[in-house]
This record gives sequence, structure tokens and C-alpha cells, in this order.
Amino acid sequence: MWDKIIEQAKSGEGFLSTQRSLLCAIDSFLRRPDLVTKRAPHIRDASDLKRVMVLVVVGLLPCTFFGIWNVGRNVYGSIGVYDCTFAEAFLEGSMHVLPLILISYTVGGMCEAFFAQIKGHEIAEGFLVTGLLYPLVCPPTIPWWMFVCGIMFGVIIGKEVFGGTGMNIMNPALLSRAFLFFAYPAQMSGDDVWVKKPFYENLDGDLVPCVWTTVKVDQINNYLCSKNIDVVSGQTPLALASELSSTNQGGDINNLINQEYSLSDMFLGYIPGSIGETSTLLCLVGACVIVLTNVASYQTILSVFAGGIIASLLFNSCSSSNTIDLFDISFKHHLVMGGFSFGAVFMATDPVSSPLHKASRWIYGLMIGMLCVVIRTVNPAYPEGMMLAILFINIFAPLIDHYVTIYKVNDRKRRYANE
Amino acid sequence: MNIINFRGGFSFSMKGGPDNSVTHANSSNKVALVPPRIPGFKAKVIVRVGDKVSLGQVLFYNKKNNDLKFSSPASGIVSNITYGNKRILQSIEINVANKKNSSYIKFSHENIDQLSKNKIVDNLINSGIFSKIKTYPGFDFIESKEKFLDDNKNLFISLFSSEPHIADIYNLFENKIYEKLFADGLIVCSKIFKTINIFNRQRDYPEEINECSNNLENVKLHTIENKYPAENPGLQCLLTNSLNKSTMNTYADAFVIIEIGHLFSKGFVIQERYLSISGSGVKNPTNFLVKAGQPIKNLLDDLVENLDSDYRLISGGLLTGKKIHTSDYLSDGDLSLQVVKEDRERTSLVFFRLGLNSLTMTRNWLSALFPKSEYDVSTNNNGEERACIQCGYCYDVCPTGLMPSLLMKSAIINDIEKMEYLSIDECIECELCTFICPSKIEMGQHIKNGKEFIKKEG
Repeated sequence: MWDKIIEQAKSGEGFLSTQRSLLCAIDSFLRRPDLVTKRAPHIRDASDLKRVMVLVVVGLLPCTFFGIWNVGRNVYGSIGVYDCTFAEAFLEGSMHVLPLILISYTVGGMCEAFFAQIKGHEIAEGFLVTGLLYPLVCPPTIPWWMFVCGIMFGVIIGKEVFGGTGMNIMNPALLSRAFLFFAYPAQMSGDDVWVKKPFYENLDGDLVPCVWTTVKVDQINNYLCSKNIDVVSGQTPLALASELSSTNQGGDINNLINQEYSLSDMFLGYIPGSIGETSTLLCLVGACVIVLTNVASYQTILSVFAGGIIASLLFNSCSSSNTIDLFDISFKHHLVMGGFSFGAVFMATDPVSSPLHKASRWIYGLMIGMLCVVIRTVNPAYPEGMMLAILFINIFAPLIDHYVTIYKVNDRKRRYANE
Repeated sequence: MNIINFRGGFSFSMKGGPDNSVTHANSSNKVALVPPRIPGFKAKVIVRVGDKVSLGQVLFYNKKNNDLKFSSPASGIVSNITYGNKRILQSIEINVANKKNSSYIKFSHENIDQLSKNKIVDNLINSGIFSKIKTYPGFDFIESKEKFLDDNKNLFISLFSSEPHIADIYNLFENKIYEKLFADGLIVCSKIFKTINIFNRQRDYPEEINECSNNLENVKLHTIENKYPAENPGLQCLLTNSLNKSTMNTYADAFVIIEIGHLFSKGFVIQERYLSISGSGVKNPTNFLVKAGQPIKNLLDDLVENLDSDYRLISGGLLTGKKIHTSDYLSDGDLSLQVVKEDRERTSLVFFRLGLNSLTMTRNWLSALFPKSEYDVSTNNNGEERACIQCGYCYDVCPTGLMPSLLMKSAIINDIEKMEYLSIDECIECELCTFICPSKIEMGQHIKNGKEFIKKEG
């Protein structure tokens, strides 16, 4: 049955052939293609692009599951319920996160399939990763229509206009997010948009429970009746830091942040933020997966962290009474706040938009880490510097490669020179 | 002795390797001389159907270079000359004469020490052995006799093969006759080459060869790390820093040295060839001594059960060899015949498996953690071709330290300047970059096309 469908899709006639890209992509994903080598080498390595992408998705899974749980926990927290069980939180989180993942894969996949069909290509498997990365860097509160606009922009402008996976110069998932960031700043960088409430205000000003929630009505009513319950504020640490720096009248900013969110909470990820990027610990677990399986380069990951540390130490050392308080934020805070670790592990290591040589990857990572802290520190309007830093340095990747190539060619000539 | 190490490379371990015995294969009474399997090779045939030919008699030569002669593998009568498209010579078939009527061309061999260099080279050319010595860079024939007479040239010989399932010359050296012939060949070569570099993996050299290197100044013995492509003459050239514009670097199979030894000690060309018949499709993979020019079907008849479309027949190694058919004849460059399964099976959900049985150079599968001693390999492509994602795997494996993906890209757009800047001619064509590419791009082929393009444009 399935064989017949594929056969017809490939034949170029009938309705099914208009869906050839999509059907063949599904087919080759489920079953190894029946291609054999044409010439030497007659044998090929078992590794394949699909395998590489599947491994990145495996690396992302801890962050995803934690993100789902954390979103659910924050929803309960927003109405002052802190004793929800793991299952309750996870279920509630799934109600908010799974639709986003589904939309991302469906809409983005359809864009991919559309272009692949026009160009007569196969669908590239790179989207397997992009489709999961994108929801993980978005706030859980994002409206679905906005979310759809973002992924379409990322896939079409970020990737397909350049010629598809492998040709893009910037990371499509981050580009999608950058689009949202600049097009709908209120929804992306406000103060308390990062935690979803299980109810909303309708046009008459009444509070109505959301459709997509498992929180019980009496829990919401309980919260609405007693306004003085301590709830999750919904502010991300970065937004908090930015706000503190403008209001602070003295006192160490690191301590002020710690009053709200302790360093260990931020490291473990019990904070509001984008769905997948709150937990530094699980990003590191994912880093282990993709570095040990030879998918991502450890050079990039290490150097991004190194760059962040160097830049924040530099800022610390030149902070004075004239500089804003953000200069004082310690490197420990920088590394665990916002999307620093997620960006370092999953975004900066995207092979397509990062440079080729190992040496250039050190430079590239260092530049990302430093630029991120620079943006965060001296530009409080953009509290999340990681996204912009990565996109910016993506554009520099070919330049870094160019000079490293020249160096390596000369080095090699020197090594094999024989007069 | 220090071991020469090199970056990149890979140790292959797969099923179907030959054992250590050497068997004499039955010979057919119909043999053939086939031109080298090189695209664009044009032969000038100088015999006709019905002619009586002797062992070692020149049957055809290269149209572009008269010194590249190819001699008869047996004595007998030319029964058929077949041509393919554009009248490209396919084969010259010979009905082998019985022992009584056989004849051979005699070459002067009285005293090796007294032979002049010119005479030695003439003998090599006229016996057809000259055409078995190739040069690097280019992996091509030697341009002309005059160039070959020039003093400044090196010879590279490997006494092993790290590419899977190629016959190990050591098994042949068990028979002291061949070891002696090899030593004789070395003595002859030492007269015409500046240096002879012999490479071996980590094991002892045979006595005769050790003695040779002690007696002859210009024979150098090296030990190299045993991983593919250590036997590649291009890599050996780079590792010994021999690449130099004024020097010609040449290489030959170890068996060619035996042929030279035979020519100068016995006075006629050797009729045997040494190869392995191996691969997962062969029942008892082993090494064979066979008469040259045998029909391949004859050789494989007893060893392979059903040689149909399920199997692929390869001459040479699994990475650099060429596809051949059962109707072909054994050619001189064939160091092994391999029968590998053509695997078109559509295994489901293969990308989600642990991959304990997957042969891989990357760490994408669990087999990297728990390597098996032997992998079952097939010709499956393991994926479809995609755009390059700059993963950098090819940089890690390239033993010469070149930049395969940049070379590939500049070769595709025919950017000669860029290709030469990246030293495209130093690519040793080991095909490791093609092997590992997760996007399944034909890197090696693109780079070879780039080389061809440069050659054509001058």
C-alpha cells in the first residue's frame, strides 16, 4: 500500500506527485533508501545526516521535558499553588508546549515541503532540529499566530531563499526568534509575559479560565478571592537585572538578583523564561550527548563559555560608580541567566552557520560569548544578548574561515616544504 | 625503528578477508590482455587475429606515448580483438599454446652488474613493466623515457595494504623464491632510482630485504602506522617530505618488483600474478597465484555460489577499486577481486537504532564505543545525497591535511586558482572524505573532476 503511494508520487503524475517531497521525506525517514554506491568508494560510513539530526534532537530532549514541566509548574505558581505534583505540572505544561512544537513542525515542515516540491529537491533533515529548537527559545505565552509568523519567516527568509539547508548563513531557529523579538517586542520582552496564567481577561473585563488548561476552577477562584498570595512574578532574571539597574539606589546587584532567584535555582532552571532554555544543567547534559556523539564541536561550546567569562570579568574590573549596575553582574550569573547556555550548546554549534575549521570555531565561540555579555551589559534595552550575538557572529563565520584557511594553507606548505 | 604516524586515516575491520595461505588457481586455456582501466586510454594494437604471439611480446602500446607498452600474458595465437564504443580497445584474447609450442621473448640478463642503466630501462619498456610504474602527483603513467632516465627520482613500495582485503605480499614471501626475486628486483631498481622507500606496517622485514637495504645505500626501510591509507604512495611521499618539483616520485606494487626481479634473473617476464579473492560473498576468501589475463568467471566459479545482481564485483580495494563484470579478464592492476553484497534492503527506522553493527568513523553510533572485530559491509549508500552542512568530518579524516570540502566546492565551480591554492594535486585520492561524508557527497569524484579540468585547461 505504502509502496504504491510512493511509486505514484515518484512517477510524476496524479495528485500524489504534487506531494512527492513530503511523501518521499516520510518514506526515507522511516526506511533506509535503497540507493547503492555508484563508484569508489564502494562502501560508505553508516552515519547519515538524518542520524546526525536525530542525535541533536536526542540531546534536546532533556531540555524539552524539563521545559514542559517548568512551564506547568510556573502556571500553577502564577496562582500561588506551589504543591502541585509532578504529573499535574507536566500535564499542564504539555497543554502549552506541545501545541507549539506541533505547530512549529507542521507549519515549518509545510514551508519546507513547498519549496522542496518547487525545486524538485528532497526535504532536508535539518528542519528536524530547527522545528524543535524554535519552540524551545520562545516564551510559553506567545500567541499561536505570532509563533506561526516567526517560523515561516525563519524557514523562508532564513533558509529557503539561500537554497535550503546547508546554504543558510544564519541559524533559522534564531532568526525566527529575532523576527518575533523585533516585530512583536511587547510579547517577547515584557516584564511578566514569561509565565502563563491559567485564566485571561475577556473584553468585559471578567476573568475567564483558559481552554488549554488543566488547572481546576476552584484553584483559580481561590487565587482570585485572596489577592495577597505570593505568586511567581513572571519576570525573567535578565529582565529583573535590567530593571534593578535602573531603579537600584545602591547595594550589590548580584545579591539583589539572588533575593529573587538563587544561583542554584537559575542553574537548575526553576525560573521563568523561554520554554527550553532555563536549565543550564540540562543544557550541559545535552552538550554531553551531542559532543560525545561527534555531532557538535566542543570547541564552540567551551569558547562561548570562555568568552562570556572573559567579557564579564572585564566589565566587572572596569565598573565604577559612574557605570550602570549591570557592569557588576558576576560571570556566574551571566552563564546561568537567560539563553546563554542553551545558545552556546545548541545554537552556536549549528554546523551550517558556524565556521569550518576547528581553529575558527574557537575564535567564533569566543566572539559570541563576549558579544553576548557586551549586549547584555551596555544595552539594557536588549536584555537577552545571546540571540543577537549568535546571529551577528554567524555572519562573521565565513570571514573567520577565510583567514584561518589562509593561515592553514601557509602552515601546511611550510610543513611539507622541501627544498 | 621509528614508526611514522599520520593524522586522520582509519583502521577498517570487516568480514571476508583472505587467510594467510597462497593457492595456485587453475588456469584457463584462453587468456586476454586488457588495457588499463583508465578512462581516455587509447591503445595502438600491433598484432592481428591469427598471429602467433610469445610470452612478453608487445601487443599494443599507448597512442600518446610509445614507451608505454603492454605485453602478452601468455604464448599462443590471437583469437579475438574486441573494441568498444569509439573503437576503444576492450581486450585481446589469446588461445594459449600447449607447453611444447610455447615460446617467450628473451631479455638480456647475463649479469645485472654489467647492464647499463639505458639497457635496464629498455628492458623494462619492452617487457611492459615500465607501464606498471606510476607517478605521484597525478597517479599517472611516466611521461617519457627521457624523464625516467633522469637521475632524480624516488620509488615507493609498500609491503602491506591497510585497505581491506588486498593480498598481503608477506604470504607470498613464505615461498623463498619470491623473496629472492623481490630482492633481485630491488637490486635492479637501486641502479636506476635515487632512493627506494619501502614501507611496512609494524612487523619485521624479510631477511633478504633487510640484507638488501644493508648492502644498498639507496634502499630505505620505513615502518608506518597500520591504518588506511598508509600504503598510499602519495601519503608516503608527503610523510617522507619527498614532494619536490625537481624530483619525480614513482611508485609500484610490491609484485611489480618481483616481476622486475624475474625479468632480470630469468630473462623473461613472469607469467603469474598475485591477488586475493575475497569479500563477504566469497566462500573461502584466500590469496591466489594465477596466470595473468585469466577470465574472471573462471576464477570465481568455484568460490562464489550465485554471482548475480545481488553481488558487486570489485577489482582492487573497497575504497579505491573499480566495478568490473564477470565477463571481464584479469588486468594487471588487479590486486584483489572482491565480491560484496549489493544491499538495497529498506531497513526500517535505521536512524533510531543503537547501531552496534554499523561501520563508522564518526561517533554517531554505539559501535564507536563497542567496536566489533569484524563488520559485515554492503554497498548501501546509507542515505541520500544532500547539501554540504560543513560538519568538518572530512577535515578530521584527511590524512594529508588538505581541506576536502573547500576543494570539493572549488572543483564544482571549476575555480582553478582556488584549487591550486589549496594544493589539489596533493590529494592522494584515498576517498576517506567520500566514505565519511554524512551528506553522501561524492567528494573524491568532484576533486578528481577538478584535477581533470586543470589538466585539460593546462
